[in-house]
Amino acid sequence: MMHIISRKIGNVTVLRFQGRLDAHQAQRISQHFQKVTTPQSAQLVVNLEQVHFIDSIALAALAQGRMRCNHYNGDLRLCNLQQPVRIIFEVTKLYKVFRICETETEAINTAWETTSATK
Amino acid sequence: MAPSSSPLIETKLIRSLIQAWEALGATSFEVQHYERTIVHWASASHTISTPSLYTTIQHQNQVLGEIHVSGVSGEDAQIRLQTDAILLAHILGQETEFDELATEFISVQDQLVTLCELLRSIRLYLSVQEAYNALAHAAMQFTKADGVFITFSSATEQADIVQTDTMLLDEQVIADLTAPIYMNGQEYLAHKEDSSLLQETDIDSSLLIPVPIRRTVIAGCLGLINAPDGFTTPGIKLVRIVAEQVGILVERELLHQDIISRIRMQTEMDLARKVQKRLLPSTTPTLPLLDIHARLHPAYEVGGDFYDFIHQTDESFFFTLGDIAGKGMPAALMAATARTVIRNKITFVPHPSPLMVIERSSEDLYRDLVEVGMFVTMFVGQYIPQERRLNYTNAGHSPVIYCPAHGKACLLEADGIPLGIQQNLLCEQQTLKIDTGDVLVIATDGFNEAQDAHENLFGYDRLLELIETHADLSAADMVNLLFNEIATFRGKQPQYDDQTVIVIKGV
Repeated sequence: MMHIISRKIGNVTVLRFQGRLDAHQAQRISQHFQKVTTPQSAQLVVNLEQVHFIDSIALAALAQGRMRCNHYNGDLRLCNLQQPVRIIFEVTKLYKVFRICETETEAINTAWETTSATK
Repeated sequence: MAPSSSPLIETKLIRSLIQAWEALGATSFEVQHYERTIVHWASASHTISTPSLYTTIQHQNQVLGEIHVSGVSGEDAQIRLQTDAILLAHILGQETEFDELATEFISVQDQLVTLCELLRSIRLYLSVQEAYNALAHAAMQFTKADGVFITFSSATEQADIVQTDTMLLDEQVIADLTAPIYMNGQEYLAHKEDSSLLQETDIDSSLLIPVPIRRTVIAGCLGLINAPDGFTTPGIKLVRIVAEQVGILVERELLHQDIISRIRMQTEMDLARKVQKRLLPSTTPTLPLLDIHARLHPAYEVGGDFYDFIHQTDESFFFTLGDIAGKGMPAALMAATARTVIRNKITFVPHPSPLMVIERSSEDLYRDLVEVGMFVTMFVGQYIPQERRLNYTNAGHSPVIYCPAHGKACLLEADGIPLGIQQNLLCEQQTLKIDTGDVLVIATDGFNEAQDAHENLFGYDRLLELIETHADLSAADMVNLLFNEIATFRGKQPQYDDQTVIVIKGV
């Protein structure tokens, strides 16, 4: 079972995921992104410190969430990737499109210019 | 209530009373019960006249009737008559109680018959909604209440509220009334004088009974409003049975929905599996200097794996392997679309290269993939037999493992990102020599993400080691080995994702 802890720091919504991010959780993740992403609030940080497994369907949900943020001139950043998750981002080359930060503080405080690659 | 006949009155007692009065010289003796003559005796010498003695029969401050006697008078006779009246009052009082009990008994019997008929007819109702309405009506009849409602716990996904139109209540009032029932699962009988909640409404009394499922879960609440004669114990008992019946219906509905959704899922997965199977090449290609073998094993919840082989007229040979990040029919349909798009690019674009095929396919598929929130990882290879060379482009696909003859197996990382993330795939084209003994294994993540009972992943290292150790096997044997090893590792754990592999070996 996966948990999502959500909190707001300034304009940034920080989501801490805990547990397995797999096909069975993907819909919940997508719904959560839809709920917290609005034209006024499209700066998301997803902290993956408590996540040790992510499959392709959950990756698709993250990618979709990022696309939604970009659509509202915001971004979805990732931080605190654990080794098994980091490997997935490396082998799929998805680290090339996501902004991946070492810490939550870095992810929150780095200037929020729009990632324009997808626009 | 006046009895139609008074069997108790026609007893020895009455006869002895009459005999006693006759002995005193009375010429007539008459008892009236609720203005109806129930005993009448007159001697042969009696002439119609005003009774000489008269008294009322009273029981619990209520006048039940009168006794008239003719032919005697005097204070002693009057006292005796009053004594008789007390005796008769006692007998008639008992008779009245007996009649009331009999009436109540018949009423309860009627209720039981109604209940039995109701329970028998429940299964005949076309819809569960009709059955709920019938049960609500029955509860109202049993208690002679003015209004009734049934609410359901949101978890049961039943209709919001069942109400009869005799006394419609505001939904908020019902929600306030029933909240404690869902909290503690206890019955609750409330009267206006001791309920602040009812004082704000036009409800005088309410009876709230939890709707149980197997006596453990509170699936809803049955509420009855305003019983002018009060909520009696037999009525409450019957309503409990009705509430249990509602619970049984809710449970049956939940099971029904569960079965329907399972069948729907099963049907969808069967169809998706058929679609997936139809996409796969029916034969394994035969190529000079190359041993090639492939297999796809779908998961129960079918994923979007696919592979394809296409021979070119210039003797080059294309193969593709893709994995849609999705499940079931949507993934199978997207896989069918992706396969067709790729096949068209390879077949109709002049001088296709793997990079060109992937980039042009991405142009066609991008919008559809974004629309459905999926992406697809893809490996496209082009083998040129004359040069024993493989050109390939890998869009986010993993694992791809290369093991040169007598060398170490290594993971070939993707060049670019999967299709459906952004239009620029950031892909490049790579080249690999496939000499004798070199092995290339292209699999889907269903392999490295296979899990054992302790949630350990099969992982990349086991795959690398397995391929390196058995690099001398033929392509077909390598495919068998990989599937056998993964099945052993998984044990009784379900297969969560499709597992697909293409093994290519230089010969």
